[in-house]
Amino acid sequence: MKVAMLGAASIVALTLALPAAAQDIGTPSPDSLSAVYTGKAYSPFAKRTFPERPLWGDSHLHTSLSMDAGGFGNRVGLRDAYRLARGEEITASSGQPVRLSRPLDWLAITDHSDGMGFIIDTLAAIPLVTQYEQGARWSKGFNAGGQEAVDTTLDLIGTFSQGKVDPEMFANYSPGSRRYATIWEDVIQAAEEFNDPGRFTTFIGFEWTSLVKGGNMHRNVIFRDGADRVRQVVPYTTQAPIGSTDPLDLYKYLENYEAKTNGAAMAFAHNGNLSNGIMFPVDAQYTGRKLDKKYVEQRAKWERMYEITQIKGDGEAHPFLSPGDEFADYGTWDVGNLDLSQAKTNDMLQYEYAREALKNGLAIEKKLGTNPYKFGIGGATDSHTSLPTAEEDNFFGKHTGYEPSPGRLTHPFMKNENGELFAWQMVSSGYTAVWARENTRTSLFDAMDRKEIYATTGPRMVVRFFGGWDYTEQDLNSRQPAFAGYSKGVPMGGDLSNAPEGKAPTFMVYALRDPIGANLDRLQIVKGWLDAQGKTHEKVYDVAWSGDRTPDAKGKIPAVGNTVDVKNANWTNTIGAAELGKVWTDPDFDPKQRAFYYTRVIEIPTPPWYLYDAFRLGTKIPKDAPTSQQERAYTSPIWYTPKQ
Amino acid sequence: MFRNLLIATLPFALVITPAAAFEPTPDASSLNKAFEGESYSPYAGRNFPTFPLWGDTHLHTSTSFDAGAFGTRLDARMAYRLAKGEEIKATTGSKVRLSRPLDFLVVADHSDNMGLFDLIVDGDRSITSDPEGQRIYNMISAGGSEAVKASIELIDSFSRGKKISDALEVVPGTKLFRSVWDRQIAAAEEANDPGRFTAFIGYEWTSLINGNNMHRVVMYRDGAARARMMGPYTTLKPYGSPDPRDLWKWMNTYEQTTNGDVLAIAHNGNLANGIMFPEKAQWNGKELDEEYITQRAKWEPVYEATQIKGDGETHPFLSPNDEFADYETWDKGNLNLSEAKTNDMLAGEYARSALRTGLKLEDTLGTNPYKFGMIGSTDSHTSLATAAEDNFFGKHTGTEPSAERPMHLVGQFGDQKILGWEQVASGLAAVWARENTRESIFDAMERKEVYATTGPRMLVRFFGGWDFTEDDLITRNPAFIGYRKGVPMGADLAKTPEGEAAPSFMVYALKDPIGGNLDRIQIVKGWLGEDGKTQEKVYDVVWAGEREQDADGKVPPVGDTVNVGRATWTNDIGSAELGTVWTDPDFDPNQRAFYYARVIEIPTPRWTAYDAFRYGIKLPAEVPMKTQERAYTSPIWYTPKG
Repeated sequence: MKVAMLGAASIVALTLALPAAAQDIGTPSPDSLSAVYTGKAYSPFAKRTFPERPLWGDSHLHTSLSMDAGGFGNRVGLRDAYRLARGEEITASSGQPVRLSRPLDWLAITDHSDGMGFIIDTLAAIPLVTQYEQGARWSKGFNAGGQEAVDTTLDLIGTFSQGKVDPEMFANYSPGSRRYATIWEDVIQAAEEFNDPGRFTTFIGFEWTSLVKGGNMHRNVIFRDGADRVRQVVPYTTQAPIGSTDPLDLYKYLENYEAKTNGAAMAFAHNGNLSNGIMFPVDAQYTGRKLDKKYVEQRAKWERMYEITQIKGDGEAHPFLSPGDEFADYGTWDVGNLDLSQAKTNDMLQYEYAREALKNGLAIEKKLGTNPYKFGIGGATDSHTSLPTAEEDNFFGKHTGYEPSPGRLTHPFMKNENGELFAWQMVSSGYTAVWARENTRTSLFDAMDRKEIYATTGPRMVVRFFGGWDYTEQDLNSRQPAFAGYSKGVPMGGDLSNAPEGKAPTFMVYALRDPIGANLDRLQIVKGWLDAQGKTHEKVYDVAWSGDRTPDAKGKIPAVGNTVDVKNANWTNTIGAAELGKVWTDPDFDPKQRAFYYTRVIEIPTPPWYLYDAFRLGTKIPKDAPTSQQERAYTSPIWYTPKQ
Repeated sequence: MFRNLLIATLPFALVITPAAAFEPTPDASSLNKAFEGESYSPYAGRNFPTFPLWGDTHLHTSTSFDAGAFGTRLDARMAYRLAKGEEIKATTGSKVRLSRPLDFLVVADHSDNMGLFDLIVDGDRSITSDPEGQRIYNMISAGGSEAVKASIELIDSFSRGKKISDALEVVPGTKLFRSVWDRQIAAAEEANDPGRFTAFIGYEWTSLINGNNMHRVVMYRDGAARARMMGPYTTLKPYGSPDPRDLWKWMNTYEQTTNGDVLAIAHNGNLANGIMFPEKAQWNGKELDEEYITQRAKWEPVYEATQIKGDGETHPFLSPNDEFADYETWDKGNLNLSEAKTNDMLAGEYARSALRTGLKLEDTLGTNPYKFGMIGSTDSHTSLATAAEDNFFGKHTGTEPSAERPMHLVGQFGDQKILGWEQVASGLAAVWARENTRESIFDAMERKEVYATTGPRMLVRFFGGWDFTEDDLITRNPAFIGYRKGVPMGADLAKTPEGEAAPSFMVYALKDPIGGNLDRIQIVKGWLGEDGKTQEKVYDVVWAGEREQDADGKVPPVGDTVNVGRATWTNDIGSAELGTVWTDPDFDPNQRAFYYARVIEIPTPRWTAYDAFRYGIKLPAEVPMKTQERAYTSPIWYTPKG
């Protein structure tokens, strides 16, 4: 009360001293102002200034407009993708009806910018394609169906990967062409048609598909803006002369977009696990150039979040990098790069996984003054079926060839001399939860921009995570932890500094299981820090867990148990807890060390998607495939930076 | 196979009646594709609701004469805004917001003298052009004790059935009455937002017989076009009547006139002093007859089992073996406390006993007049649909949050007093409707696929059938099997299959995500014995933790984590979800019966504890500071063959 009053009185005084900013007649009396600042209301929800529930979405989805998706048989367009996401039932490319258990709150369709729309035009046999020999051949082949269409797909992929596509034909599906502009216009149109502020948000976006010798450097780009601004540009591509595979050029494109339209856009990196060591460089960029101030500043500016988990693997941590973390080996894809043209080696891993990048970011920040890897954490499907299905009991696969069928588990996902990935290794993951107050483009984008987001591998658990200096158990037990959370500290994605003398940071973390999902096993806080010698470290703390388990000699909480019924593809919530919460103080805090903290929430074991296949379709569970898994959530970190 | 056969035979039947004939019968094999059976995606083809829709069917605004007189200045528009999740200012100036929006709301203002107080406060020309109206308007405008005097004068003359002047009366047939009703309709139309929020048109018909409450809320399935064609029904002669049979006649006339659809919801009967659920004679002494019971069954499909003025599921006198029966009991007297309560009145007042009486009446008269679904509502007179303990704004404006309100008088007649702390922060109606629209919610109410809670939003599924198994429950998608193999709450069990089968019930409850854990689920059975007497039994069917049933078959209390001083609790007792498949061990196929589920939460702080904590006040020992909130599902009925 007193503070607010004083503040108000002194603002007015200030205003008088600066006539340029003065607004109206002189200073009101303090009495007349006290009614304006009424303080706390009886209704605890009045004056609530923070979001009450996270908004769920997929930030990375391909439709039939993407060249690869279309080539693999996806015939579901933009509008049906939005319909499915907002809760309607549609028909998948494989002819099956599909519906989500619950609608998503928002969706970013991010079709590959290179060759966007080429396949649908080839199928439609429009002259822009069929006037060329290659185009005519492919159009005929696709439309013949059966084996001929399959051969055509392989022919097309082979031609593209060898760079032998007719450049004149392809120019029609690249920036600068009239057709490309109309395809982009339709992407914008569809997003505008389905954007329904307050109920369902569509983001205009695309995927910039930089592939350097098979090393995946893809970025998704999403716009905060609507048609009026986004219409002024077309997507950025990777093919020279117009496009480039260098992220620095993508940043330039974003810079130009904002300057030209007064709008806002951001990029976020595809899971780095298939980049073979080039996603999170520490010393040199992929071009061999040293990491410099420009690179780190630009990256920090434009890449506000990171796709930590998706169908092609989970990218939080790798067992080689985090040998002490018994949950690190989840959905690991470490056979090679994106096209498996190069096998993976252990030395690449440190430049691919989120936790390691967060650690390296601390060291780079010390050296170059900016942390390029200070990102919020999101999850997405990267599904190429137009279907953002991330739930185990409703998983429609990576692309149309892996939509549900008795055969989908029998053929490999990828195989060559460098290794093999099995179909069962597809991860039914993930979603991004956004702590935004309103379901609108602006509110969601701004929450992503301030990193108030978290990732899950599919389930919709609610996770709150706050950092401050004086949280108490009572704040948590108030039944409304968020009120104390926001008023006494910062939420996920925020920064701590200025450690009070002799104090260690406290974190208030709270998780509630997905109402139709599994109970929770435990909450962990992952800490990474930079020591005085410039070396980075990490430690995983179990901070809250279900049941009466006690830590073992190494301080680890034993496993929660397993209720999975393999034959019937179900489980019971008779172990674990529906909600877990804790106020945790870092016992190893050193105020001179840079550090970050994030929360990992682990569910009890549940059936992986292929158990549902076995149960429903009568297929065999593949050899070596685990018969249970533990889904999880990763929050964005809270960073601690010592006072300079 | 079965489906294909059905399709193949249908067209043949139609050939005989050419008026409805279709195209020639296709070959059966060509139809196979049209009926694909189960799809991989478990949610494709889902034709039942996935989550209940939450609402309040009984809310008063400034347009109710009493609410206006007691000080409420918020009209229907403000009531809808709060219900939709917006922040507004309560009449007493405090900011208020719901923790979560409601999905639907029925503004049910009293039809007698509807809008009079709004008109006075607004200084409407119809009031101020009359000398008495002008006098009252001036007093109200003056505020303070003058205004209180004027409002007491109005309440007093109204309660004695007298009017101060013609201008100070809003009665059917007048332009004023029509304009008030049109404004109510307009507010609902503006707020109604299909798919997101449903605003129902409605009113309360306020029949009071010697202080005994027979109120009914009337709600419309229809929009403005139909609702405008007739004004609401009132109780004061010569325009209206306090006899429910006249209300039902009015409802019938409305439907005939407009081709629309309305239903009536009886106010909690606990203040009816025995006349809400008559077994022999109606309130006016007339025998219960065929007309009464068929009309009541037709027009009153759901019942308000809990609200701020007490909980009406059952009473400890009626259910002496039910240790949870004495929940927020208001049994001092009738609505205005003009007559004290006696035990013989109770059977005509509480939901469970009415359900039992209904079986008996059906046996003797052929129709069950009390075959109703259960809902809860607030009956708040503040325009604020607040039913949560931590956000309770009281019965009327005088009992909005203040340090004094727990010990304030809410009502008094002679020695009988009701104090502020006795108000119940209750309840809500949960509706299993597929779409958030007037039509879908109304239709779910008509088929009684609804349940009541005392405020929290626990999700409750309840199905009855003949062959549910534990496996059905642990599929993680119990509703798919529930609807396929049986019937949901509010329905009738299919006929007994041959053999010795007993009905099985699949019940599942998930706690309110921001609420307390669950203590137990119970199934309440009522039946009619061969001796013509009804009986009841409460079965604990599933509960949290390792508790053992005692010698009487009762599960001991769950424990208590409430910190009264800080008005908090912890969810480290109880369970987040409970479910079971239960088969009636005492089933007799020759006996009429009903079954409903009662879900009990672990103890949590009562609203009085929040007041004590927030205002730093000490309340007398008699004031309860804890509560075990609950949900009551609509029953499933069993009727013997023949």
